Amino acid sequence: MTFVDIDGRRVHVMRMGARAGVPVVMAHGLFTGTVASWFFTAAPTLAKDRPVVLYDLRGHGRSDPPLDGDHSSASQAIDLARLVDHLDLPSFHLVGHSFGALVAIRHALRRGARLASLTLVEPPIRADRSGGKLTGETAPAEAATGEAAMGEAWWWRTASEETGRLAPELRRRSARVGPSVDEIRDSLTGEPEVTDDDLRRLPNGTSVVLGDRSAALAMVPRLRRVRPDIGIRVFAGGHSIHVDARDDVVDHLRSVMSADHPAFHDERPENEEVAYG
Amino acid sequence: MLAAVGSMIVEIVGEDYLLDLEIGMATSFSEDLELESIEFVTLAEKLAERYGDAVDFVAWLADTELDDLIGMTVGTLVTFVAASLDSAAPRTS
Repeated sequence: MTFVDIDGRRVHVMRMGARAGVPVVMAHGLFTGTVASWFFTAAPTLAKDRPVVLYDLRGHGRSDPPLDGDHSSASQAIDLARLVDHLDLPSFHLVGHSFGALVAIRHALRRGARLASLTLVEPPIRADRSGGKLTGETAPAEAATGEAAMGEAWWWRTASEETGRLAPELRRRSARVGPSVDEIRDSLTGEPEVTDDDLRRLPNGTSVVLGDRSAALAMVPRLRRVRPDIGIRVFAGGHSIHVDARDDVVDHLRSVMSADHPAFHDERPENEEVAYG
Repeated sequence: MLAAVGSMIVEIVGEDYLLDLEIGMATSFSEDLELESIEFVTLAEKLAERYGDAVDFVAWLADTELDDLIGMTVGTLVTFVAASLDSAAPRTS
């Protein structure tokens, strides 16, 4: 196994695939997410064309948990920045699933200039709301639940769905040695949502992949309003769309990565590299 | 080859978890060993460390359906590793 030292913590990294080509870095989702999320889905096929880098988020898989209990997307984005610096990746494609997509968004907003493309798979982006209520064009699950009724932070719904579905796995061996679900949840309580301004600042050529049975579909009207240029692909499946529709997701990723997105490299002051503290 | 793969599995899972289970060709990773996905990744890493490019597990995964992976037995993996090493070995006539 390969580990990279980031601030005294071990971050588990897997590098695979072709030695030439613009690499792709892939981030997984919360709790049961690990390098395995991509290793058993899209990564092997992508590895035929280019180097692939998978890593375990802090506190997940084989990566050490943070001593200060900080699991926020901002802290995870700092880890990602340090990781790509350590691996000396001058340009790379970035893919994130669920919370990993949020980490990718945070990274893109601060260091988007290095990105060759950005693909957000089931990102936790809130739907449009009107007067505190969800707008009409929402997925059934979203409309039935309602934000207020949940009594939870906006990001928690998606994570809870995944946790509930995969609860048996959380009781098993490797999950028991990591941080508790409660620790991660508490750390993410103050997690800021993705704002319209954030969406406007995402690099051109960003794409979003959603499942047709996912509550995340509710974000589509907002995305179309704020960033009509963002490509949205909807495939048959739920929140784990990279599992449910592996081949479709792979085809999309290969298409995105083979396309030329010159706008990614335009001068965009808001996307210039920002040093992390 | 079964012994080599079996010892890797024991190393990853730990003898305590295997209890009396004897690892054989028909042992399934999911139902019998209850191998977690991250543990399977570790097994792939160990194969790469031991056999290098001779065993291209990643390329094999790319051509394997997820359902087949879920139902995979130790024997399937052992056969794949043995075939890879066989094809990578220099031919003598």
